Parts: sequence; C-alpha cells; structure tokens
Amino acid sequence: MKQARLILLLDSKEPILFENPAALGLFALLALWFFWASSRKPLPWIVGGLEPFRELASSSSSKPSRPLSFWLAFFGLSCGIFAIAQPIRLGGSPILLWDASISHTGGLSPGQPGARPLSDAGSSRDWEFQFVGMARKTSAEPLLLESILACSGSKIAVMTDCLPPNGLPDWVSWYSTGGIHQNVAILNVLPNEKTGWDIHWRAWGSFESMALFQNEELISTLSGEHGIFWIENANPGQVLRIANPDGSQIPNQPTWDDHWDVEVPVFELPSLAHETWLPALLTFYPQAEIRHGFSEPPVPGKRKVVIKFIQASATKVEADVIAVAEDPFQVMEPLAALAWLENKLKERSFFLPPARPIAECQPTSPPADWSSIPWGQPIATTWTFPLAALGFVALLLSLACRKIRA
Amino acid sequence: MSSQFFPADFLEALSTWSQQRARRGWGSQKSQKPGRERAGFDRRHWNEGEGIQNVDWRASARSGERLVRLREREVGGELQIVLDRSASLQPGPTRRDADQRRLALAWGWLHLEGGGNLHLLSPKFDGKFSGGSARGNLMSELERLPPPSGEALPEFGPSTESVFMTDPWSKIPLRFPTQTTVLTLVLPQEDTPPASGLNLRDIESGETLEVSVDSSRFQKTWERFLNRRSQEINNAGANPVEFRLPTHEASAVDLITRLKGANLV
Repeated sequence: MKQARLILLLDSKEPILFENPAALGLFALLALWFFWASSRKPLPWIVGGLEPFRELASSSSSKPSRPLSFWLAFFGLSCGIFAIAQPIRLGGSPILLWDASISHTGGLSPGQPGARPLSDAGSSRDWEFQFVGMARKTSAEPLLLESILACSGSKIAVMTDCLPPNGLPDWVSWYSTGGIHQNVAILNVLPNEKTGWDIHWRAWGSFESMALFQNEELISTLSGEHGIFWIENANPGQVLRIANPDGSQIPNQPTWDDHWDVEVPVFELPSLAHETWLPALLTFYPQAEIRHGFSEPPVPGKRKVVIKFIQASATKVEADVIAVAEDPFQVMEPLAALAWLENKLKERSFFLPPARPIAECQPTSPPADWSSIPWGQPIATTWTFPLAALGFVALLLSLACRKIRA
Repeated sequence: MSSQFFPADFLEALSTWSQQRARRGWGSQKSQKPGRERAGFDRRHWNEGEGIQNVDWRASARSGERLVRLREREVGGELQIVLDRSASLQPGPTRRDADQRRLALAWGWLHLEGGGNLHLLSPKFDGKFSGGSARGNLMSELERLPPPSGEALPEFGPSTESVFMTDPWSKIPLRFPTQTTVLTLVLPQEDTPPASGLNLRDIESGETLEVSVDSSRFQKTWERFLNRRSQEINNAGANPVEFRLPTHEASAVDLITRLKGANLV
C-alpha cells in the first residue's frame, strides 16, 4: 500500500500571463513613435516680434521638454498595447503540490540537503510551505487528483515520482522524477520468535550480485527476489545495508531503502514497578534502556514505551503504552508474568521502526488515466477592459491638453 | 448691410448699444472723465457744508433758495482714431486686423452718434467724418483698408481725444500728442503661445529664432515685456491700455461685450 503525503506549497509571487503575447511586439512600434516624436522639428510660429522670446532662448535647454499631452498619449498607447495582449491573472496563487511520500522524497523535506530541489518545477520562485497531511488512499494518484481538483482555479505544478497521468489539463504542470524501475530494499528488521533478528529484504529487477553488510562487514551474499536473513545480534547504532559485494552502492535504483538503522526502544517503568521488570525486559531486549519514573527527558532518536498500571477500560490507551491494571510481577507467578510480558511485547511491536511499505519500494505504477475527468477551466481575471478603458481616457486627456494648449 | 468684417449681429449689437447710451442723470453721477465737464443749465438745491463758489446767485435770487448749477459732460469735439496697419498687426491667420476695424467702427460710430467729429488716420488713409449719416462712409472706408503690411506707423497730431489702436510690437515714439490713449490689442496666442519647441519668425524683419517655450517662464517674460511697454507709453505722455481680443472662434459680438466691459468708450 503506497502511502503518499502531500505538501501544498503556495507561490508568493504571481506571474503575469498574456492570452495574446504576440501583441507585445507592438511596443517596438511605440518605441519608434517615441523617438520620432522626440526628433520632430520645432513648430513654425509667426510672431509680431521676438523680444520676449530672446530671454527664453538664452536660458532654455537645447531639447524642448515634452508636454503633458505627450506623456498622456504614450501612457494611453501603452495601456492599449497591453489590452490587446490580454493579460490575465489566474484565480488564486499558483500552487505547487509536493508529493511527500518516501518514494519521492527519500524521507527528506523540501529545502533539506539532498532533497529534490524545488527549482525542478521550472521556476526559482520562493514557494511558501504548507503541509497538507497524510494520505488515506491506497496510491498517490487519487490523492493528487483530489488535491488538483480542490485547487482548481489556480495554476498548479506537481512534483512527484508518479508518472504523468493521461488527460492532464494545460494548467497543471507535472514534474516527475521518472519513477522507480528497479530496486532492492530492506523492508523490516524484526526480532525472531526464538532468538536473534530477521532481516526481511526484497529485490525488483535483475542484479548481478547483492550482499548484506552489518556495520560495513560483509555477512552474506543475497540472491533471488526476496528473503529473510537471520542475524544473532542487532544492536542499537548498527547499520544493516544491502550493496554490491565490494561495498559500493547498487546503481540505478533508490538508495534510501538499502540500509536499516537498528533501534531498540527505551522502556519507562512506573516508580512502584516490581524489581523483576528490569531483568525481564532485558531478557527480551538485552540492549534496551530502562528508566524508572516519567520525569527524565526523552532521548532523541529513540522510541519510548511507557508501561502504566491503569485500568485499560477507564481511559483511552495511547499507542506506545502498555497498560495493565495491576503489576503482573506482583500478582502472578514469575514465569506466568514473564510469559504475559512476552506476549505483550510481541503484540505491541509498535516500538520497533515501522516496516517500509512495499508500495513505496516497488517499481512505479503505469500512468493513471485522467482523460474522463471534467477539469473545467481555471478561473482567470482578465485585465483587458480596464486597461483599454484607462488607455482611452488617457488619450482623451492628451487631446484635451493639446486643445487647451492650442 | 453686413460684410466680411462687420457681420449683421455685430452691427445690430452696436446699434443697440448706441441706443442704450441714454443721457441718464446728468450731473448726478460722477463723470468718468473728469476734466471734460462744464456747468450746465440744470440746477439742484445747495447742500449744507458745500462751498458757496458753485452757487448760481441769479437763479437763487429768482427762486429764493440757494441753487447750484449741475455739471454736464462736454459732447462733441474731435475724436482721432489712428490705426497701426503694420505687418505685426496680423502675424499669420489671426483676427486682430478684423477686430481693429470693428473697434474703430464701434468707437467712431458712438462718437458720431454723440454729435462729435471723427478723424480716421492710417498710413494709407486720412479722412474726417461728421454727423450720424457718416457711419456708412466710415464703415466703407474701414472695409477698404488694405491688409496690414510694412512697418511704418502713421504720424498724427493733437486732437480733442486720440486713440492709437496698435499691437504689442509697435515702436513707441518719443512723444505722443496730448489726450492720447494707446490701445494695445493683444491676441490670446500672444498671451499663451504653444508650450513646445517653436521656430519663431518675426513677420516684419524676417528674423528667426528657435526656442523651447515653458508656459510659466514665458508668462513672467511676457508680463515684464508688457509692463516695460506701458512704462514707455506713459513716459511718452500717453495713456496705455491693454485690450484682450477674443479667441479666434468667438463671434464679433463678443468684441462689443468686451468693449462695454472695459468702459473705454
């Protein structure tokens, strides 16, 4: 089951779009008119005498200043050209949909070193970051479709590893990484029911050779499409890795799922817990960290399991809590209590890192078909008429100024 | 009998104005032109506090009350209208030539109606008119004046009253005859030329000058020029008056309105 998280990114700078951009070429003609108007000869003017003008001639600049009517006409013509070019503004800000699933991001957030750059969307805009939430669908495409339809009215860019669906509207731009074609992955590391740990691995595609490393020490070669490899110890801080036998990364496939960091949980016991709790927990997790009481700060990077003596029915039990009404090591025989604890730990293996979803590791699905989706058109505001009206008014004012001057 | 220079509505407005100039309140209003009054034949009662030098003793003795003779304006006399017909009067297609003729007709008409004599003088015409019937002749002569040309200004001698109708560009002589009013006719485009680059040409001398006209700066320069000219006219012993002509599109009747408002006649 492929899980997809989407991050909605809003563009803080709106682009200006034109329905008829070729009309902007008229500015070349406007530039010609501008220089022609500037180079026109002075107006011939017959007067009865020159005396009052001599003073002006001695102090005026060689180039006559352009009157207000000229600038009004220039402004009016500019507005007219923009109006012909039909500028539009799409409703709402342009939106970037960021597929936050691990198959696309490798677990990294936008902007983090190593993460896919936002400039892949064909722009260097400063996107505003907004987190949408976890997906509830079985694949990313339905969630992306839902988000695109919800944002309809805006220009949308999608960054994902999913292949571009068929039937995309022209106001949606799709930036795919190309998807996964082949891959090897460690899917899970679970405690063996007898002893030691089981490493669950899988491979899609054909690879010349694969090897399993524990802390960079080759422990076995692997072959086939999948398997479970047993190891005796998996201590916190150890790294398990699938690679080429020489230790180099297996090429042409995602590498985020090639390794597994071994974790062992931290157990928090109530201060009144029976002393047998400690050796019992260490029996199952020799490297576990055991704390008494709840006052110590959490250790970053480690999963904490809290053991509480409460009535389970009396309150909602949290996910990482083992709740029991009475201390089993006080009310049961030691062996019975130990068996009870073992069952509880197996039941609630949530404190181990979650398994990697196969849907995120397997090759990417073929493109979805969205041909039948009724997309409609994005809402756009046209500026043609306001600009045309403004330009017309400016030209009228220019004529009025010339009339007044005359 | 309208013509190119004197349309029918202009003549009608002038005729109406002439009829409206009734003799109202002789002696009861302050004369517009003190110094042209004389003791008349109407009388009024002497007021307490008034000097006794104006008392008409004979009439007072006859009536038994102190009476004062009313003053009345002198009518008649000769009005000399001198027209500047140099080329600067008409720099291009303007209305100054036509308006000068109209002003001369209006002024002369009203003076003739008032019983006075008119002497019309221009470089190429010198004629005298008297009586109400002379209006038609005056109009004909003004019609026949040739277009403005050359630079020469007419020379004129003293008269009861002289009006010299000219443009802002004429040369001011060293001395004007007494009782002369220099009426400078100013075109709207002379007050406000186009605010742009201009290639100017003096219509009389042919001299050219290229200049960029800035409205605010030109206004100051123009004002200084007109003030200097007024001062020169004053120094030459005449009374300077600037008369703004209507725009090119305005009707000839507008001139009558402006002339009335100026209280020149």
